[in-house]
Amino acid sequence: MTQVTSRFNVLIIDDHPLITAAYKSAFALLEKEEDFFFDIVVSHNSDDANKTINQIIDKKESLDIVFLDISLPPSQDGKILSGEDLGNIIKKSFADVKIIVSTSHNDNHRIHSILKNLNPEGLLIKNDINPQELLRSIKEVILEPPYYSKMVLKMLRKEISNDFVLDEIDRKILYEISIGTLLKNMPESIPLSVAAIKKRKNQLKEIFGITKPDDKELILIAKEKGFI
Amino acid sequence: MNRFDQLSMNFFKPTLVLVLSLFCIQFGFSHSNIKLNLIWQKQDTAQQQINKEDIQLNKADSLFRKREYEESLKVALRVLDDAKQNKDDLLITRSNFLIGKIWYRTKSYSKGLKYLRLSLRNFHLLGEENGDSSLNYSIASDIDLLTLRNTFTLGTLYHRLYEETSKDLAKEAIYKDSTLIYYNQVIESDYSNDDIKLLKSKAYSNLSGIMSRDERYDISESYLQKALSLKKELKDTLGMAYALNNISNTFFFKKDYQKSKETLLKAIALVNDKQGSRAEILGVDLYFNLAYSLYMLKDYEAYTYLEKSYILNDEIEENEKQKILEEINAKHNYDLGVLFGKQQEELKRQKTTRNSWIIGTISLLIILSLAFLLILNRLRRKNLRLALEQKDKDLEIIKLDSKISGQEEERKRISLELHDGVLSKLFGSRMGLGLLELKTDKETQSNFDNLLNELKDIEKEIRDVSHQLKKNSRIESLSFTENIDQMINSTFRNGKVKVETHFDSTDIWNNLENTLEGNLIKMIQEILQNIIKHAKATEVNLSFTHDKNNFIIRVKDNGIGFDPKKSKKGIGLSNMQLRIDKFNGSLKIKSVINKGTQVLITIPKK
Repeated sequence: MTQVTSRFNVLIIDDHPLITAAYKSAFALLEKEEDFFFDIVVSHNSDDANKTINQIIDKKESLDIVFLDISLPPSQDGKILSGEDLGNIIKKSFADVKIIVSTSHNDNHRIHSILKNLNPEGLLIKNDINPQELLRSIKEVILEPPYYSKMVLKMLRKEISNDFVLDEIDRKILYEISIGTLLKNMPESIPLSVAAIKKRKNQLKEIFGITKPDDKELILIAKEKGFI
Repeated sequence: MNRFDQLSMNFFKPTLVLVLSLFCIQFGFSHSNIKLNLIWQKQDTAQQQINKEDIQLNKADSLFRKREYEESLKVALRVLDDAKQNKDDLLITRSNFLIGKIWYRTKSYSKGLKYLRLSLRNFHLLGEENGDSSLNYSIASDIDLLTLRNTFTLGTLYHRLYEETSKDLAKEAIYKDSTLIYYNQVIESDYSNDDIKLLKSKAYSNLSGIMSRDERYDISESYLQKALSLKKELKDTLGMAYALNNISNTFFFKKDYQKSKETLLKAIALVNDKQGSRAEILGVDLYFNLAYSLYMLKDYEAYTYLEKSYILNDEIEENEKQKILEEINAKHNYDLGVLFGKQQEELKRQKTTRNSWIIGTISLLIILSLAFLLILNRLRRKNLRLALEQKDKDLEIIKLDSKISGQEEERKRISLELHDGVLSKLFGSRMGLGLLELKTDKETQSNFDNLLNELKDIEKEIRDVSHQLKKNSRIESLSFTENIDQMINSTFRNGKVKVETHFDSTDIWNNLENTLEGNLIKMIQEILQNIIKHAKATEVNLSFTHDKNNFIIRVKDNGIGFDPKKSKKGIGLSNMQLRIDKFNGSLKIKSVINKGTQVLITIPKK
């Protein structure tokens, strides 16, 4: 076991007071069981969180652990659109910070993009964990990160066991098809032309061995393989 | 002659009412965009936002004018919401006004009344506010114009209700009073720019219609004279001709045929050199009315004008309805031609023989041709009624569709609410409970843990429901064939029914025109729902085929069938019929008790 400082500055960001209260009591329990001491600040929206972060920077204090909700309402100036943006700000401002993302999204595409863009020390799917796992996640993130909840691990395993190599754009295309985006509207969210997207889509069908003209099969298989 | 008088009254009254009601419809909504830029300048906070909303409202307005009421309503309601958030009173009021007009136009009169009354009250308040502060004159006058338009629209709404109520005398009186009050408010307004003059002239015309319905022809005439002079000031020749036509009608009702004739001649002089379909249609009516007045004056020049009316009418090729009318018209012209030919022969003979019985024959011919005239006019009105009925049906479909898209919106909303609200709160509570330090025995603790796991399962169920809801609302972004597949899968979820689907070409079926696609999907949904609910079938067969001219959809089941003669048409079926009528298609239902049902939909390709 590595030697750790036992005092931590903690920021909890979630728009539901019930949830932040639960996290707080988890930290309180840990204080009793282990030799930890937590200094906890709570924010219920992205503006408030941003303000708190700036205050900590101004005071030249450290931030050690952040509990971060992904689906937060955007900030009023529109610069922070989700928890992911907030997470990136935090990572940039505090080199040693440990972020535990907790999200209620369980689609593979979203989780994949969180892992890729934010690479948090902890990743929990809210309705997938029980109280004990919540306690364990905090402890493990402090002692030997990372900690991923079961569903995330399942997804990662599925992906590793696949022979297919799909890049980010392929995934994005699959994701957009699965949520029903029309081909003609895809260039709005994917940096490719309609023709190029169509070509990639056909390649994907080939990769997955699909002969049917409609996209339903493609989506079913991609889901099965854990790409979306 | 007494019988004739009666006939002529019956015959002319509808023409007058028709012209007047045309006034109501056309003028109630002729609505030009008003620029309220000045008002935005005084609110410099969040000005960008407001300008955006202003543009949105103008968009809703132009949609309204294009008669895309469903879209217009959506946009207007959105603007209203935003305006409420920004506490922009003027925008709120303008949105309410537009929404009121949309409801009115789609015949939801009570909703229309609610919104229009609300907006009118607020316009008045805004007007008073502006009166107090030392605002720019043109802002105040914009609001005054809007207020007056709103007043007038309310008047026409009550007018419409008044016209359409015939049994309930008490209601009729209330509607009439309200109509008069609002119209009078319009004509008593002391502003007088061109927009307001136009409104006033419309109010006068409509008032005259009400007076004429009460047989108070003198007052009716004086209103029309005022409308006429306003139209003159506005240099609206066509409007003047309309007014003159109505004036001549009041003379006609008073049996002053000479004056009626003179007035009509004035109107004809105004219309003669005018181009455009409205002028032409009016011309037909004018010549027609003139012919009748002359007939009443026993001036047999009537025939010349009657012919002119026909010739003009022939020239109008507005739409298909008009073409049908023309066919009928041509036939009657031929008959009339024969009659005219005969008449000339008779005249020749009259010269040589001067037998008095020939005059009798001519009278008979006149009566006969008038009878033709009557039939023709009835046919024309029948066609008009058919056109209006079609429009009603279209509106019903609009309502149906907006109901369905409303349901989808609602599904999305519930899905989001479940996912982001309920689910998060449940999770928070479960965590909170689980982290409580309970001081209990082992058994209670294990019960407690079980219950916590139970809660977790509930969360999973809610999440599944939320996803399911989101999926259903996505139906529109799938292709037609995918939609049908998905619908079949979700309708026959238990797998007890064997369903076969056949498309003769996915290419053709996935490239249907959007409205047709949407309507077909809803029709097939209806059929499948009926099979599930009533048929007790074990096999269902859907086939989608096309030939050179038609799309053909056949849905067969081997269920218990029903007796088409005995079963009443349910709402579902009549909705289907409405949708099919919209595309000029046909719906055939064949059903044999205990053998099954076959539904055949044929839609012509365009």
